[in-house]
Amino acid sequence: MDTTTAPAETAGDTTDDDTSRTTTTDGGVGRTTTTDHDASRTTTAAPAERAAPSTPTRPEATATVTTAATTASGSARAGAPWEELVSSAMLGTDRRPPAGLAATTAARDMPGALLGAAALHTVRRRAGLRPGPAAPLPEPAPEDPRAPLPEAARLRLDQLLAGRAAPSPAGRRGAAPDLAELLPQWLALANRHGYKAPPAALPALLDAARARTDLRPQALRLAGPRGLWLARLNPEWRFALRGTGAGGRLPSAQDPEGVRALWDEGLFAERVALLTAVRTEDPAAGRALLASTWSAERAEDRLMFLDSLRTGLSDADEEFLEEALGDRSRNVRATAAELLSALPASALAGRMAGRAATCVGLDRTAPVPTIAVEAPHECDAAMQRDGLVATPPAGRGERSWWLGQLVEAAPLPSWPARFGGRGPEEIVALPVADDWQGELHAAWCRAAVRQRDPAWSRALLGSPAVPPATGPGTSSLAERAQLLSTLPVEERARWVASFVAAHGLSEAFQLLGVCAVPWAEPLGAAVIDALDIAREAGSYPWSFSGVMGLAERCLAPEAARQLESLTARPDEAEDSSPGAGDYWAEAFQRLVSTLRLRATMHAELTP
Amino acid sequence: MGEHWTVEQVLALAPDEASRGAGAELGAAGPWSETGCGDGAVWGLCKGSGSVPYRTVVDTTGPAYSCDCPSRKSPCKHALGLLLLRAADGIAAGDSPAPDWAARWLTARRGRAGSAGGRGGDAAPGATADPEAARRRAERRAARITAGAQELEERLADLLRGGLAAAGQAGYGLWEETAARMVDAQAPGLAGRVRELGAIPGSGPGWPVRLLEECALTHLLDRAWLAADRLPAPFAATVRTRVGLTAPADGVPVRDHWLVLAQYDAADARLTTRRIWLHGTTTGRTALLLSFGAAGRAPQLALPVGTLLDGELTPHTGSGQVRAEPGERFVPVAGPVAPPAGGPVGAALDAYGRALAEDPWLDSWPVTLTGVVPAPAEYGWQLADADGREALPLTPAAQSRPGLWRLVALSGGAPVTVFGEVGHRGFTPLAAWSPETPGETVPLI
Repeated sequence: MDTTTAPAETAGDTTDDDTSRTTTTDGGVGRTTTTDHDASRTTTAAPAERAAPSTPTRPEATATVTTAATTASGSARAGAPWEELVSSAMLGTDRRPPAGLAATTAARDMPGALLGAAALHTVRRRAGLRPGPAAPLPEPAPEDPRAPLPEAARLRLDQLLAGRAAPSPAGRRGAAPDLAELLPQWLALANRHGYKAPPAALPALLDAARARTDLRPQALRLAGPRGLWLARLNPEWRFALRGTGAGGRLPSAQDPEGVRALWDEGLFAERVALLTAVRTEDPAAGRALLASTWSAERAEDRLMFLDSLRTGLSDADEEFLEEALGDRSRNVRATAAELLSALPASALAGRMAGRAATCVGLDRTAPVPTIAVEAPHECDAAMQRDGLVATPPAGRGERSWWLGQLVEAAPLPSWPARFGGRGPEEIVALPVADDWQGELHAAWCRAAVRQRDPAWSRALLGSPAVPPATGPGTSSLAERAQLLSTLPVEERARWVASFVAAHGLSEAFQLLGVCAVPWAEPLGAAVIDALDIAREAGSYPWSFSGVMGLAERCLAPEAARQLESLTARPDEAEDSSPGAGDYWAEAFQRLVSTLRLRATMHAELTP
Repeated sequence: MGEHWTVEQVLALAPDEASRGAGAELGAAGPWSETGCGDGAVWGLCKGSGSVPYRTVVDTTGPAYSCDCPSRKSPCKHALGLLLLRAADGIAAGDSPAPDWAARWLTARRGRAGSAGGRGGDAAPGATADPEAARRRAERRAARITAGAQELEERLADLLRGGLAAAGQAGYGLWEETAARMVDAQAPGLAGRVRELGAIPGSGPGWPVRLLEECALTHLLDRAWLAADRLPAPFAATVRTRVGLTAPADGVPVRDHWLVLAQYDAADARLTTRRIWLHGTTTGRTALLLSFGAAGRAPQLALPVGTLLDGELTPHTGSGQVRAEPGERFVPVAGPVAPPAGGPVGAALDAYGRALAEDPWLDSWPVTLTGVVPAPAEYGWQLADADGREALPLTPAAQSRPGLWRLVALSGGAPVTVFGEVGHRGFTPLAAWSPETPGETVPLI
């Protein structure tokens, strides 16, 4: 057994030693006694030097924990300086024996002596670690005066966010709710109640918003000022700062200098956000801001700025838009024309009404009142300035193409006068000569959507019970969905309910998508009835998976009671598809459990 | 009912991410029938793909699970689903007793637990049958370990003679072979250290210093083992534990309300080790429970972070030991939850230094920091005292965990309380509490 440098003895002795002295010395000194008698003597004499030698050659010592004392007498007492031990260990004791040990140790015992001395150094360094200097503390997150979530809702949010990360295995949908699909609803509801996100959930919330852009507005609103504070610290969440301009610190419209500075120097996204914000507070100031730099903006930026006028568009914008009709960029001109045509009182709308009136009118020579159409023969420069595109897409005649654009841009309120005071319904019901009906009605549909005109939309939608292809107006589901979106929500729900009752669910998906959530009665009942009919008809539920998914998210939670009876596994009918009954039962179970979960979510969020 | 767990707590029991998803799917009333609960247990029938439903029963006092599904995971997705259903109030506590199949298992399990009288007792029958044979076995093993320690000393000496630079080029194979020799010598503690030595040359800049440090500490352990008969008893016990002999949990049992501070797994190719930190709310003790699972499988013991549990812990012997074994009955209770008492970052390092006096091989030590602010420094995140003077860096591993951002978010630039492990590599945050919600333990790992 080695003598003085034998680590086992050292360890044993000093532990013994330690137990005897901990009562008399403070911990900081007591612990250094574990390593070496010599060292303990020097360090008890000078407590400030109790720390192990810190050397620049030990990266972790400088990079992780710095030591308070620098290399001092202690290192020499351990037999050899640490650097010498390291270089000797690297090159080998045969080639370079450590100078401090060479005098007292035989070559054969050198490795053990070196390791013993190194163990001493190591434990002493670790035992003497001191904190490093603190970096500047981050500026505290701004106060968020909103109420914290109730406990149950907080746990629910964790669950929804975790469910987003873990999709159901194998893609099969079981009887359990699809949590990821409920997250948008939950966020909207929580925001409506004015809650703030629990701080610990912010990282998961920001991750969710990063992955799904559709979640961003609601997720960031819930995350609030602390969410933005956090996003500034992590480059992965930089997206959160984008939409809100300078990290959510847009100057107010009452601060003209701040507005001007950001408008002149900000990034494009910040400037769009600024324009929108100023416009919301003071539309005239917003327009003035835009006009001040308009001619110097790049074409694609002009287009985006112009597009942002769509929100809150009013007659006061006409002058600016009229000027933009002369823009260098064709896309800017087209957008300006489109926006003007949505203002029925604008000069452009008046010009369009005049042009359309020359093309469409009553044929008084016919035995019954009939609409006669004379499509334009040319698309002159004035028409093109007003946004008409002269060249039709491939496969379309130019005259019908021009007609469609004219009618679409003409203000709808100008038509009753043209048709002897008839209202929209009567006008749509009039026969149209020479196969122009499709072209004309399609153009009116686009006009009704663009001008948000419920009366015309109603007329063009026709009766929901009539088979789509036979009634007046449009038969395209996409156009119908757009028309529906201009109607008040109750009317929308009533119309779609009648449609579902008459035609079933197979074509209702798009129409259901534009109805307000939760579905107002009688829409919910109509959908449930139709699902029940589909089940009894023996088809598989996945033929209706789109509608099922919508129903899970949109049915009013109270509908669960009505559905309860459908969750039982029915007796297999002879003519139904094999196993369909089970799948339907499972699908209805998921529907019911999702509705229950939504009801619970609502209750949890209600203060 | 005190044994009512939240959804969050149930999900924390899941052995892996897949089970968590599958369990969540089963946490709805649909597939379940004949469910019930009472007397610390929950049971029900879960319809699977076959014609006969699975019988699932959970003893929430353990917790322990029984299900006749073929899954080898524990808890299986059915047990998780059942607990989730219970957590969502989907199972009413009725008057009807447990059905026979559930009652049989519960009775058998609780009978076992009652008669065994703790885990220390499990090993007892073999030992008492022939104490002389057991002693001889222990001696034979000690002799093998001694031979192993001597061999390791020789290898370290050879290494030092030739130089660590050469060892860096030799690659991992050299160490693997030595580690295998230590396994043969029945010294898993030495084998583990040797395997870690093998990983150091590939661990980035500064590896020679780290390799020398760890070689030196391995040498220290070898020598300590070879001189164990001359060491004071508690320190000798620590050395035996470090070498890889299981120290018996034969301390004086401590009963308390224990707050679960953290639970996390570390897996290597052979073993999954789960570490659970507990804090005794009246005794102020910090205890570590270890639970092991074969590679790729979750350890049996799972305790949800933030729960308060009433039960007994039996500490292991040896100086500087925080490890303990839980008694059979470990029951969730309601009660005020508060973070452990703590101090500034300097005091945390002092505590680690003191602990090294008891066990120089400690890589880290459990501490609670109060009034600290997470702050981004040039080299990464650190926890700084609120007065902005001193700070502890986070370990490199903790810098890249999602828990870091939960900690930063919770703080919002203001002081928080953080529990974690402090060591020579820095600080690993495991749980945190904000002054606004001191009763809520936020897990960081």
